[in-house]
Amino acid sequence: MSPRRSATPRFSIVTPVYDPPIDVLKECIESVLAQDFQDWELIMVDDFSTQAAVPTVIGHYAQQDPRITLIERDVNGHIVAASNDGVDAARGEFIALLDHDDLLVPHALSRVVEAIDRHDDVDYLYTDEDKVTADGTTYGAFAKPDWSPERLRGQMYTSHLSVLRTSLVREVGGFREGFEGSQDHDLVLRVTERARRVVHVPEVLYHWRAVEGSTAVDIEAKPYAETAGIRAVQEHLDRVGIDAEAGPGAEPGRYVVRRRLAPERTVSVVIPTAGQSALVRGRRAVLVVEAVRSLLERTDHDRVEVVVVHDTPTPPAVLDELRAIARERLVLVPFDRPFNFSEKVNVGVCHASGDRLVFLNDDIEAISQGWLEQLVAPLDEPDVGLTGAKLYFGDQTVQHAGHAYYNAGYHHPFKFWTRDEVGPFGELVVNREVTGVTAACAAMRRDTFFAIGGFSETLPGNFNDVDLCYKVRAAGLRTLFIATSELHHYESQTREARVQEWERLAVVSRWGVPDEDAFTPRAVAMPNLRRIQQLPDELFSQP
Amino acid sequence: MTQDATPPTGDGSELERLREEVAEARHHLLTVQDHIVGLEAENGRLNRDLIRVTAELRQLRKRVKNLTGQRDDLRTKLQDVRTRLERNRARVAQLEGSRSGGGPSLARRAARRVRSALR
Repeated sequence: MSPRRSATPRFSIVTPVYDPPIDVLKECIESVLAQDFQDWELIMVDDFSTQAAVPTVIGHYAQQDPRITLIERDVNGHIVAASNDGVDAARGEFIALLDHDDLLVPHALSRVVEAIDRHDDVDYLYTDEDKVTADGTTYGAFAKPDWSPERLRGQMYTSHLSVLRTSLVREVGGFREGFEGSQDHDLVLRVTERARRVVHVPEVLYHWRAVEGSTAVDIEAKPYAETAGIRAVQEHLDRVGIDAEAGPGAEPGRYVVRRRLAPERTVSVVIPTAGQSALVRGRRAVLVVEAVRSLLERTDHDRVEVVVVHDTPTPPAVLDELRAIARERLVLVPFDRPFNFSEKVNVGVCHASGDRLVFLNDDIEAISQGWLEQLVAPLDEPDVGLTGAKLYFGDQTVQHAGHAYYNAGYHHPFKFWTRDEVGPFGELVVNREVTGVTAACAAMRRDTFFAIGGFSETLPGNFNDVDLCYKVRAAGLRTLFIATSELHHYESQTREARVQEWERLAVVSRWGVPDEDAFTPRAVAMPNLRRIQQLPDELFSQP
Repeated sequence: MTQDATPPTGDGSELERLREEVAEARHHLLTVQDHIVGLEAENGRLNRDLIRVTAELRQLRKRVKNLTGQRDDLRTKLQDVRTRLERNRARVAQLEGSRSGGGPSLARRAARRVRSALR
């Protein structure tokens, strides 16, 4: 039976076309024709290609299949104009964006339909993607996080395949002139501001063509996209009322969002300590003293209170030194009960007066100027419940960049990556939603802390932060990893955490066994295996 | 900003005592709230487990029902085949019995004919 053209198809696949290699263009169209879901239309907008063969080939396919439409522009208008012509012509309930040299997997649309049918209020869907070479080899699969609005501010991570409700695309005015190169990022930011629901389909359904000059191969191929991207993010921040400045990130395609902390916010930094000393960069130092000194030096925020919960054997000289550094900002809380990290922090919070709380281990040293402002400011968004900083060992390797809970365990992905590395898909340099963060440096609103019952004192040593993060999520709040808040954490790199089985079971009895992480899937979170796989083969060959 | 929480002596002691009481009350509130949140979480987890196990049980019951049906069908078929086999065996025995006094069996006669044709 020959395919029929529906009056209102489920999908309008919009493809702006400009001078692609003909064989690649054909493969692209064939990948649409091969869909096992049939209710679609393909709108190909030829943006005045110089090769006459381009519209001829599309026209040929359009003659064969009534679901394919060719729109020929009279002038070259660049991708925004061409895409908007496609949007104007779309009759489908959803618009799927497909580049002229990329490929859909045969069950792409049927998988998306399944997701739409599960949530009838979905306005935007995105899927995982990989790259495909000229010979059809696929590589670089990107297992994306579930809906992660903070990450979208730092990079256009949803990218391909993006499927948007047509009415909403029109409501926000389609693609915008002046955002060429980042027009899809700008559109998705505007659509998701109004979307009732955003759904991630965790399966590679799109092959992004890696050819010379494409951003799939070289992220710096379109330098103009960077400026447009920063502007798109900045305008988004302004629209949603976040007081922040967008700027260039660690590499092209990544953006840094630097929030401003309202001066009236009162912040209490709670530090449990026993007043120990340790060698720090070859010098013996009292850890808590260095922590307090650096945290105050590297913040410009005035209304900071430092609550030090100290074991009663803490030497008086240490307390005197703390008084000298923090002066009227210091609150000393003696603690004379057996070791219980959770209890110690809870007691500290009960003596704190700030409306924002920062939990800080005493073996921490702040590195980045404004670390506190960056960590605390996102808590002004009502649905952000917890933020965590980026921590390094003394040798500048990563100690913490967010937790990931999967495979029946609780993990620190990206441990031992170096400070200058951006991580897979920018994980280390972009602020993003995570399942959990370490309590070695984390921040919460005071009301949230009391609403969820603080740290569980049934977990005195391990996993109290994991439990806290689960509580935050159960309260319907987001947890953010803040890459711009950087600190040293002088925890021993070789220390084996002595985890008791009962501790793990205590967490599991509350929250269940973790299977797959929603924000850092195991495919992304197991970097050591990935890095070994990327090493050149000759390293493993016999001499 | 708050003050040094180390218990002082002198005129401020009453104020400090009250502050300490407030802190203790807050702490009590926290531990009770943690207990409640923990119970709710465990309750939720048990409910989820129950729903999952119930769904699995339903599926397994369905599968058992299907397999039982298949088994019963196969038993009926087997019984039918056995009955036919018995009937056919009886028939063969009957035929062979009727021929036992009247010369060689059909197979033997066929073999003999083939051999003669090949000579």
